[in-house]
Amino acid sequence: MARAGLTCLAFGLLVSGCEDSPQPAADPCAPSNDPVVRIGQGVGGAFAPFEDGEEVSLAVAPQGGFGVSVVIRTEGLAAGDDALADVQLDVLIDGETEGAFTLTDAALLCVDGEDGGGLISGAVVGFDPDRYSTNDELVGLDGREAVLDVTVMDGGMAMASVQQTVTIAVGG
Amino acid sequence: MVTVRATVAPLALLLAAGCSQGDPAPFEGESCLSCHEGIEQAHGPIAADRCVVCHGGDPQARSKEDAHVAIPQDWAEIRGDGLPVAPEGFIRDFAPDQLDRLDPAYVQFINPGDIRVVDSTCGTCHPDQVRTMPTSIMTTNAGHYYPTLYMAGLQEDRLAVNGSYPAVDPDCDPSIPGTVCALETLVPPGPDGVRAAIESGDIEAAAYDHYLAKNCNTCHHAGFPRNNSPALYRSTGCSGCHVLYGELGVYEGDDPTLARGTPVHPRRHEITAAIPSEQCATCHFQGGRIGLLFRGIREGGFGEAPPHASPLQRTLYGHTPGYYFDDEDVTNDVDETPPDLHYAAGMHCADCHVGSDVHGDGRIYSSAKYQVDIRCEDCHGTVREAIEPDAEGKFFTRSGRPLPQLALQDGAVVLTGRVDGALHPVAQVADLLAEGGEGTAAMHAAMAPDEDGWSHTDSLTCDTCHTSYNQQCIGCHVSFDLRLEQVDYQTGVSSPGLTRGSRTAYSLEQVLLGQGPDGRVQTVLASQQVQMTAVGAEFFGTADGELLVGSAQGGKFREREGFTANLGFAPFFQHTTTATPRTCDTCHRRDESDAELRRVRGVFGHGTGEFMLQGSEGEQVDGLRFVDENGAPTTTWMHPGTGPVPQDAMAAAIAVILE
Repeated sequence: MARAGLTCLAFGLLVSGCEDSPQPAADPCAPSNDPVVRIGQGVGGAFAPFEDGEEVSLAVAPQGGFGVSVVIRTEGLAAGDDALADVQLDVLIDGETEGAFTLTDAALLCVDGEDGGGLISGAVVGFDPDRYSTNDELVGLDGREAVLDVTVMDGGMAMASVQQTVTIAVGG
Repeated sequence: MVTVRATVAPLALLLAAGCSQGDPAPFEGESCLSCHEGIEQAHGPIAADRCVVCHGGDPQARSKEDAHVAIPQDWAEIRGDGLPVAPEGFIRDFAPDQLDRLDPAYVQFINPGDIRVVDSTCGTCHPDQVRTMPTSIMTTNAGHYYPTLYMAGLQEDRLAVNGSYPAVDPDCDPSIPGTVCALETLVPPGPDGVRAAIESGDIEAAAYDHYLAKNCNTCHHAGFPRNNSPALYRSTGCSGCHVLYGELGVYEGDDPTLARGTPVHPRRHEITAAIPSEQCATCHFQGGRIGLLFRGIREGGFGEAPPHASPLQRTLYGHTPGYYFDDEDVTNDVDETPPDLHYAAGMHCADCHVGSDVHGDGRIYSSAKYQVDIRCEDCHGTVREAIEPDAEGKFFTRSGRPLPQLALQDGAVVLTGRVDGALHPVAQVADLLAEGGEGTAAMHAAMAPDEDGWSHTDSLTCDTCHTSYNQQCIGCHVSFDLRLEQVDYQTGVSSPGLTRGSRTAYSLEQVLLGQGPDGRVQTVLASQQVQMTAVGAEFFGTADGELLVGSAQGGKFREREGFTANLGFAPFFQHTTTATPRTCDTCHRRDESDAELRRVRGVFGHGTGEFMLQGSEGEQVDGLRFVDENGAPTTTWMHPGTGPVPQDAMAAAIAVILE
């Protein structure tokens, strides 16, 4: 039993079928058996989920650097005023990882309302600056299809991931 | 309805029509609070139910639609398609020109502190501050334009021509150093202008104009920042400083109608003078990076990180996690990039920078170096005398600006912290020297007047020695690529030409000394060492990827008459103050060896050989060199009165060999 309990703890809510897992909750900011992550864009509370192949802006950041600014929405992960999450932000092109960044102890806020759920605003999915250091290397990304791979693990170690295919548009 | 509009406005736009709790409650007088019950009283003198005093709107209306100022019909047209998806009516990422086009009533409804409406809001009680704010460097951002354009040979004088806001000073007096009578916004050439520039063979000026407009316009009080990333959230005008935003840009107050959890909102519906450094850093993370350095944060973005560094795994200022560092080496017990001692003691930017330092004095200054007059000596006195209050017990800077946070208590100078009200003893250098005792021998040797009455402090600014580290940013590669588009943050509109800056290297160890604006020696930083590359596109009649400026070997160094490699250098107060000063051997030789001679000559701008930059002709230029073999300058300096240490003084300092 102890071993089974540890297994459940370790994998959190990721694996469905743990006998003691909680029932799915209506509250999108509460843990559930089937947590979901979506990524998209928007400011001021707007959220437009990325669609497959959608052009997303790879923007030049202030004072050097560049990346795709994304809004992360969750359902079924523990979100709230004091909730924290770790986020893995990867980008892949042709199956190769071209950038990998870890966001630790990010505030996973809870948004009320119809489209409610967890929210992390302004997370930046970037490309490895060592591999994309020159202007030509950066510009070479324009029009490339890439997969944004985002995994969110909440404070209870429950995880959910999304792999979203987008088309990189350098600029904006 | 009066009260709540203020802060609530942006949030209210996200709500469905009507109160979230149902129909408005019965009310008498202004009815805002019937929906926004519980919202914080924004400002002491204004009653909580007097929302319209600041926000406008109809205080007698019985519905949200009637009470709120309507979203202008041209909002979508003004927003255009250059900015991200946003809720209808959202303006908190509008550029200055977009805000100029909006119905002022709506601007006021969203942000009563905006510079366009502030005469009828904040200005009714604070006319002096509101009079000076439009010409303040905080609004004009003038110092971001002229140094770059002057160093590129694109303007004649070291005086501001452009600003992010078209300021005018009708009472200007050009005899006052660094002042101008008016500023105009920088309008980069559009496609036709770019095409004409290419045909004329001179695209460089257009490249610089686009670079400045597209990279330097999000940090001033005339427009919003991008407001899309943690630590970047803020408002405009007076509210840009006096309404506090948290790192996440979410509301934490008690108005039930305001969405919690979604940016962009102030932390609470409050106006305050207790402004923490984090608010200042929403802009001052850029340029000189003082908002980072002051807090002990080192900017990255220079390629591979040091092997044992401690990166901040947070999204900050629009960057990927790990872009910033709080320690260079976690395997030792030394913080190589400590916070400024004032910050470590609980003080904030606003404890020193008050009054005209931030609000301006009505003049249009070409850069912050003219407007900001606070000096270490204003609080800590000189080696010869402590500061003294006037007959009423008030303290002032040398220029006569009040320092209201200073007071005498039991004969000692203390500073009352603006943010937390804590009392901070303010050490007086003269008193420390007079006290004598153990440990003061070095202090005397470094600062006390000698038998001739001379003190190092007569020739050196305090920060020259009392700086724990400086971040030299060496080599600045700017590309202007016509194959792609980018938003112009003056207009909010996307236009051809992606501009991007990247850096070659950094150094936390290399000290450089030069002459500061007051004639004393000061720490110098490599600054704006731009190498430009312009890339063509078929749309403009060139081959895609054709290099129009620069070459495959490197970007083009800026040129002015008499100079070939126009690297930029500027005296700069790093805001990494430490009580433990640099040691004498930082600037003087330890022995007679050639290695020591080379090292110390490097401090005075003879170059170090460590940071070599390659120009467009393949030439190699030392990124930290600004004098020739004889100590004469090899490059123009962007600020009048600044430059290398005068040759005789430099020779004397280099000649010193410590025992």
